Amino acid sequence: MSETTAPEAMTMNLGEEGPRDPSRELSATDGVASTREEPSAPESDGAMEVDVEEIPLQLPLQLPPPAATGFQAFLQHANLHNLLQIEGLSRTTGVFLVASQGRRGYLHLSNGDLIHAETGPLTGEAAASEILAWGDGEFKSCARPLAQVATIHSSLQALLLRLATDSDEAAQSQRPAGLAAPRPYEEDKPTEPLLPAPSAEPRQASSLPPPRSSRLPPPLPPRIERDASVSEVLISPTGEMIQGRGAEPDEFSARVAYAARLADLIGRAIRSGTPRALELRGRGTQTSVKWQADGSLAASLELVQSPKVR
Amino acid sequence: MKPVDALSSLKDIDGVYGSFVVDASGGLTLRDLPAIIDNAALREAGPRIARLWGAFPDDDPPEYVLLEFSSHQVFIRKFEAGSLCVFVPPTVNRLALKMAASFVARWLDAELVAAGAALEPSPVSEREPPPPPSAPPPLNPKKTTYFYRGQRYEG
Repeated sequence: MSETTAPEAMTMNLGEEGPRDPSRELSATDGVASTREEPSAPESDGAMEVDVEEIPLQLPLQLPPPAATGFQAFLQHANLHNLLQIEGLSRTTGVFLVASQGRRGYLHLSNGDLIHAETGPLTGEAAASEILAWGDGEFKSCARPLAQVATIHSSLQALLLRLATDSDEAAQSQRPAGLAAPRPYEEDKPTEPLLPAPSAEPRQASSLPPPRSSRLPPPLPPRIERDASVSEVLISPTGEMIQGRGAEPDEFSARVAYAARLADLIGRAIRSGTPRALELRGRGTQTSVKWQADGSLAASLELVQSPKVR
Repeated sequence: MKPVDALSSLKDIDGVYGSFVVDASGGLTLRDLPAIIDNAALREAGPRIARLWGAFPDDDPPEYVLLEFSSHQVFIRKFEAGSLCVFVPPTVNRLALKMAASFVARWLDAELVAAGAALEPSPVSEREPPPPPSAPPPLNPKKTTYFYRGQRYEG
């Protein structure tokens, strides 16, 4: 997994988290909060209008004028993945501007899910991959309207994992071979005595994970195939396929409708209510189903490559 | 190790609320859950969980299903003899959970197949059902009334 290195830093500006006193702002000179009177300015509705897109870039201590609510933070060692995961866990809906070394990108989150990304001519997962590879810069709430059409269908977790895997693989391929000093496999034995032992089926020598180096990250499973979505369907609450594309959408939508119905019944049985999402993972495919606000189901089928050693 | 201990090991993963196991037909086999979820609910859900695997493509062996609800998730891992279901918060470490569930599923496969019979679920939350009301003995045995040569007889 990618690790944050010391030089990396992301400035975080969250506009919708918690109360904020507009008469206070962080001093750019001493780094501590100081209170001063704001000059009287014409205010249309009592709140200061902030266009965060106009804030000069690469000035981490010159914080923008206060937004309506929320905390501002300057996090020296945070990386973009961490910040995005915070927003994901908070189920945030909004658009975030990411600025790094003169580049700008926008990440659109709906209920914590990354649904759209844009930077330069790129959109969707390509843009997300580009933005999330930036090592330092600023990450802030933005008044840009939320995208109405989702161009990213992978979960945030899956996307970050995939990007981290790609990044690690790239780093590993660039590393000189001399760094890979192997250590004995015995050092990788589990240390938890309470966990049940794996089944007694004999492991082939070739199936053992490769020896680790103390200076390299642990070996990663085979990467998940990128852009391998083979079917996407939208199913109405009454079970009719509204939209479908890809391989055999009729059969896929029937399986989705059946699984969703069973999931709904399971939710009722265990008094958990209607599910929000369903993920069916097989050895070679992953089906992701999301319940829409109007009761319809959006589902996608992706080809994945499972690790052979599990 | 007892089967319930195997389920308890899942709680090594931060946030895991508990778990239960249903057999291949959905019958409740094991449980390690707070009493707030009673066995009747799990028995109702069990057959649906077993049928979920039918929603996978024929040529793709299922591995797991993740059901996301508003406040929690249910991670369902298939194994040979049934399904292992784990209640987790949305913030659970998914990778660690998958690995732990994989260990437990393998252990259950070995144990349950060796046992050859389903284990009784642990009595955690379900009360013993009250005995069926037995019919009280009749106070007066019913007599048959009949007539013979103009006389009324009972007996």
